[in-house]
This record gives sequence, structure tokens and C-alpha cells, in this order.
Amino acid sequence: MMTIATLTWIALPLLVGFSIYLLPKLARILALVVSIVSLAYGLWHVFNPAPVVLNLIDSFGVSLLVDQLSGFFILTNAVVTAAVVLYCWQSGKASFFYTQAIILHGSVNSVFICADLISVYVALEVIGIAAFLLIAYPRTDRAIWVGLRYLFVSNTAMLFYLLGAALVYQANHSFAFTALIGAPPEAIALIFLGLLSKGGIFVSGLWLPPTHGESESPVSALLSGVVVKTGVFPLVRFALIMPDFDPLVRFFGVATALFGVGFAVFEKDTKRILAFHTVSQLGFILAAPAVGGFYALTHGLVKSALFLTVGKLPSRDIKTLSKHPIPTTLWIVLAIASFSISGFPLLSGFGAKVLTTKNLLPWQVIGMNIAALGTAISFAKFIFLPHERSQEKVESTTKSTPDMGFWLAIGMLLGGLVLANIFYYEAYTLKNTIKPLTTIALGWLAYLLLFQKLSIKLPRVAEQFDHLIGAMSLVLTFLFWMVLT
Amino acid sequence: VILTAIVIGFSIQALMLVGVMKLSRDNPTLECSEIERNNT
Repeated sequence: MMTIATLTWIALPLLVGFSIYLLPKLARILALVVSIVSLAYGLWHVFNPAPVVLNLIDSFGVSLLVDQLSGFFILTNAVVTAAVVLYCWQSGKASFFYTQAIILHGSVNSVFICADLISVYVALEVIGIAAFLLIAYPRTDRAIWVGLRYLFVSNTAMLFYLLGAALVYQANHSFAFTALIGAPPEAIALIFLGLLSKGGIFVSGLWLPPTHGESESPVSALLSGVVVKTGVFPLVRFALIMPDFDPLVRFFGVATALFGVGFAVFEKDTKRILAFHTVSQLGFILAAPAVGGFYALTHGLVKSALFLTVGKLPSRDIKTLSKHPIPTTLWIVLAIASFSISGFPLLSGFGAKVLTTKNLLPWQVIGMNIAALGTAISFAKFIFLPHERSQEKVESTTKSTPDMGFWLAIGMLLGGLVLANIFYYEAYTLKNTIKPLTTIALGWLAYLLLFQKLSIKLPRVAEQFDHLIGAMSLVLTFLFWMVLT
Repeated sequence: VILTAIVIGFSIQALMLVGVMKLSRDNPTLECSEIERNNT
């Protein structure tokens, strides 16, 4: 019964994705239906933790594994896709856009249930293609260049991954995740490099800020909300089923959390702050693999809400924004989302932060606390933006007045944020509440006293196209060394 | 498995080629640094 449900659910987006082309009038509705089906499926798995294991085609083995962790990731994917479809409802996008969005949705879903290296490879490549077509949808030179960069980096990363997968097969005659245990160190290093680059983690993740910063808002929301999590998910899975890899994954978690936040604090461009912040939040997911699913859910909801809202702001530069007041309604959305991500009680970002902190190892605690402080600092930039209510000014300052679709999408994301509290309501104790509040207070203090006046422009050399590939080989060497020791 | 990888590889090559051809209209030399300066 569950087997059939799983197979239908995984095939549905691909089927619907292509039929959207034939029925362009129904595009938006079909896209929405697919995400609602995923939502139901994801919820079912979150509340029924018993894992479903499937083995198709036995000898080479396409093996699937659906459990609570997958459930959380699938839920994130479903909510974010639905929100993006609602957001684009009145934007007059062609059915091509929805086709790609749904195919992307389907392939992201399949990463979340794969349990062997080659299925993950295929799904990640499909994601790369669909994401490229979405980024390049406006067909401007700039969009195409940003898309090409993405495609090139992700394709190179996946080549490394494929090499690693072949080496694993040579050693153990199996593509299953568990075959990594006896695999040679170079194979492990190659596979990790592929996933780290695809997931935008640590130095190999520097391709992410330009890509997410330059794409259209709905596409950025999709990319930041779910697509990067496809690189992270297999790593979390590795750490959970093979304790040997746990320290390695946790190390990269802390490193990327600090790395991303270090850039985000100094950044002045709203979309780039969000993008760098994604890099750091992925670190939080990796830092405590056992509870990464819940963190991924809250981050996906918040980040896509933020990207969608920032897309409606009159400017991208924080300096310009702080001179012209933004509409209060938009400010409220920004503030709620920023509060959640800094871990303010009542929103589920709080539960996720508490849960993650509980699952940290002693050596991680200092690093993660600094990263949490950095988060509070970088989001103080949004919270302290001036805002005003008067409608006449609003009309003149916003590019387009937010419409129904926008509010539905935001309502869904923020509503999800409040509802997600039920997954971990035990977090609400006095002791747990004080710590995030202190962190936020310290962060704001630091922002008002120091960071608001600072105008350091970090060099973007490392983000240049040629250096991205170079950085990848450096990380590979580093990984190889880490796996050996 | 090998066949899948080949198919995926070629389709991505084709996609990149289309993108590059579109870009080459404005940047005939296709120098990364030039394109990057024009588009970011």
C-alpha cells in the first residue's frame, strides 16, 4: 500500500510537469495540486516515523528510504513550491515556468527519499537542469550568465561526485550509501566534495551568493528554500547511518555556519545577505544531523518568505532602504521572519534552535553560539529598517503593490512557521527562552553600536567564475587530508 | 548507469551550448571576466 503510494507520488510531478505543456490553461492549478499532494505525503511521514524501505531493480539497486527526516524535507519542499506558485499566480508567467518548477519539485523530492549514490546523482543532475532553466527564464544576458555559472559549477561538482561513486562501486560492488564505509578515502573525498559544492557549503559554496542574489525573487526562494538542501540531505543521511562520518559532517556544519555569517554581517545588499545567510543556516542543519530535518523545515519557510518579500521592496541596498521608509505591512513580514530565524520564542525558529543546541557536541557549542549571534546581527539590519503607514507614499515607493497571491504565499509560509511549533513544544521552558533572548539582545546591541556604522566591503574575488573551480580543488585536497586522518 | 550518465552529460552540454551561443552575440570573445563585468 505504502509502496504504491510512494511510487505514484514520486512519478506524479514528472508526469504532471510534462502534461502542463499540453494544458497550459491549467498550469497553475496543476502545479498547486502537485505541491498539495506532496504536503500530505510529507505530513504523513512526519507523523508516522516508521521508515518505508523500497528496493527496485535488485542487482544495481535503486533503493529508496522514506522516514521522518525525509518527511520534514518533503514538507519544506511542498510548502515552498506551493508558496512560489501562489506568488507567481498573477505574474503571467508562461506554462514553461510551471513545468520547470514542478519538475524541479519532483526531482528534489526524489533526492529526499534516495538511499543509493546513483539515484542521488541522477536526481541532482535533473535538479541542475531544471534550476538552470528557471534561472534563465527571463532570457536576459544577465540571467543566462548567472544560470550558466550555476550549471557549470554544479556540473563540475557532479563529475567529481560521479568519479567518487564509481570508485565506491569498484571497492564494494554496491552503490548503497552504506557501501561508503569500506570505500577508499579518495572516493569519500570526491563524493563529499560533490555534495558540499552542490549544497553550497563552506568555501566551495561561494557560487551561491551571486546565483541566489541575481536570480528573480521566486526563483531565489525556490533555490534557497529547498534546492540547496538537496546537497545537504545526503550528508545528513550519511552522518546518521554511518557514525564514522558524523564528526566530519559536524565539522563542516560549524565551519560553514561561521563562514556564511561572517560574510552576511558585512554585506549591504539585501538579497546577498539572505544568500550568505543561507550558507550559514545550512551549517546549522549539518551541525546536528539528528534533528536537521526540523531545522531545514523552519529555515526553508523563513528564507523563502524573506526572498519573496525582499523582491517587493523598492531597493536592494540597505543604505537606500534606510533612507526611504518601507510600507509597514512588508516590514511586519520581514520582522516576523527575522525574529523566527534569530530564534525568538513563539515562532518555530526558536524550537529548531533549541533542539539543535541540545544536540551539539561540546566542541561545537562556542562556534554555533557565535554563529547565532551573527544571525541576530545580520537580521537586525532588516528589523531596524524605517517603515511608515501612509498609503500615498507606499504607492510611489514600491515597484508594484503586493497582490493577493503574495499575501497568500506569505500567509502560508508564516502560518507554517507558527504551526510548526507543535513538532517541538517541549522547548518552551524558562531556561530555554532566556538564552535566545540574550543572544538577540546582544546581537542588536552589537549592530546598533558597531556594525551599523561599519562599511567594510569584503572583496568578491573568490566569487569570480574561474576561482570557483579552483576553490573546489583546494577543498578536495583538504577533504582528502581530513578523511585520511 | 553509464548510459544514464552519458545521456545526462550530453543534455547538459547541449544546454550550455545554447546559453553560450546566446551570450556570444554580445560578447564575441566569450571572456569570462568581460561577461562577468557586464552582467553583475
